[in-house]
Amino acid sequence: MIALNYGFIAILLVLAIAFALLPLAIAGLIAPRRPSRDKNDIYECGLRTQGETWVRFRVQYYIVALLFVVFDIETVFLYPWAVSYGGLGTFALVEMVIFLLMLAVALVYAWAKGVLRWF
Amino acid sequence: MLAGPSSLLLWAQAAPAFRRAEPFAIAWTWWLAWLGVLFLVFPLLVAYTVWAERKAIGRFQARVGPNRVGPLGLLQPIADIFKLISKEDIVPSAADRWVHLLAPVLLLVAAFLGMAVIPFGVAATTKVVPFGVERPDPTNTRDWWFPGLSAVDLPSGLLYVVAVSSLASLGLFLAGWSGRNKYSLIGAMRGVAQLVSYEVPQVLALVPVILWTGSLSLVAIFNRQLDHGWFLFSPPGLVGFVVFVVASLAEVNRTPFDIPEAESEIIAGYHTEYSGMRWALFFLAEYMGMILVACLATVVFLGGGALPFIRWPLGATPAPLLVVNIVLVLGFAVKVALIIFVMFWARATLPRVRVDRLMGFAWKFLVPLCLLNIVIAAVWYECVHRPETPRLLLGWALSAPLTLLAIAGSAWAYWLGMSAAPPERTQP
Repeated sequence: MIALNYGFIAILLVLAIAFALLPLAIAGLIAPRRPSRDKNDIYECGLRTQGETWVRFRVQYYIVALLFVVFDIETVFLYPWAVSYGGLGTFALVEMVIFLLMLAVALVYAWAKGVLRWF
Repeated sequence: MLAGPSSLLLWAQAAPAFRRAEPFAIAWTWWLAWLGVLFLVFPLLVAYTVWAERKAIGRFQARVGPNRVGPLGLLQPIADIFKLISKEDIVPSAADRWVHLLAPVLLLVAAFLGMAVIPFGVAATTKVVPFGVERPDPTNTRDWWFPGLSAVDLPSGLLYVVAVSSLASLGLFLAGWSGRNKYSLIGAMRGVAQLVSYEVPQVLALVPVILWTGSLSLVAIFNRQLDHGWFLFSPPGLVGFVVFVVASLAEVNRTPFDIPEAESEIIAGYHTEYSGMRWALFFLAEYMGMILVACLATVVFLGGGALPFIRWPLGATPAPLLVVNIVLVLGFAVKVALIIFVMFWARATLPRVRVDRLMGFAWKFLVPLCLLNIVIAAVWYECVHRPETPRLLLGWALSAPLTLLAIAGSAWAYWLGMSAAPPERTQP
């Protein structure tokens, strides 16, 4: 039954892609198509674009992504813990508080190091 | 309690018309009907959400909003669809063509997939047990379980919704990156930073609900609330709901969290290089995302379509299935409409948040608050959910002060973090 349910999800995925592509196909048939050099240029301010777009960005974005991975993995641990909490009792609560505290220490450390400072 | 994948066939066999049908025939009839709902009703709903937003924002700004096409402007969305589909589809010659095409498709797919597990009502008013079908036992309310009116009831439904909706950040980045436009790329970088930051409080805000239900299935969460009242009516539930709605606003890039597409600074942000129907797909995906998070908040915190405090129409002797579902679907629609109206209202009222405050609000306020909220939720569980007779008074007496303390502590931490003097700028 699990496989059957996910089979429906797979069908939904295929149909959703088709649903997105169908109006694009219709638009491709009925919409006007008059490309020109200026029209197909990158929009910037009315003049030709200057310099390369795909440049290096501030490291801050990367650090935020790293922090996100840490907390996302924490969530992966928290969800099964929350599901089975009812059958585990108080000891599980103590354990999870310790786990949360460890992560809180990580957050505080990152905070003190200025990772969360945007400017 | 029965929750899980096998329920689909079991409830279907509970319905008189299907009692002797082939299991596969039941499943496919059901799913075909759901595909119709998902692909016909939801796009239409999106079109009229756009109309409602234009009307509402119009009233907020002392205008009348669209009123030319059809009565009250009701045909405006239809006219817009025809306009968008007949517009030229401009792809910059320097763009990465395939990624440029893939990005809006990915965003739309993410919104569609999430909808599959939302239970809008109940599929049968008979209780389904592993070895057959029986009506709920009026003396034992704890064992009631109603199969949900959803396309599928995945045992990991909540995790699944969170997982597919996080596809949106990928679609958003691909959109901004593929156009080879500087404004798009800035919008995409901001967008990804914002989405991953607000995803953490969004998923952490859901943990109390999972803890109280003991299951990730949205149908189980709905049933638990039929039994115990809405999860909103508890201090951790209230905090979870507010945090979830705020984080969801950021997840769907709505004002005041719309810096990825801030039109007054970076043109249109990540979708600057999109026009015509491709741009319309972004629009569709944004509104579908709005409806999805509103539906999710309704199921998870507001008891689905259930009425507050009373069990009617799903009491010990449930009303006929049709009556039950009319009440539940109407209740569901009202709650979703209210949440969406709050989103319009926020857009009309609040200016855009500055980027450092935006990131600081997620990491320095919402995340610590959510972590504390999980512990308070465990306290609430011990008082209300674990004992045979819920000790509500004790639960409130313990968790309300703790919640206030958690909010005050997080606010203090945020204030401390944001008021520190900025360091010397070392890089541009």
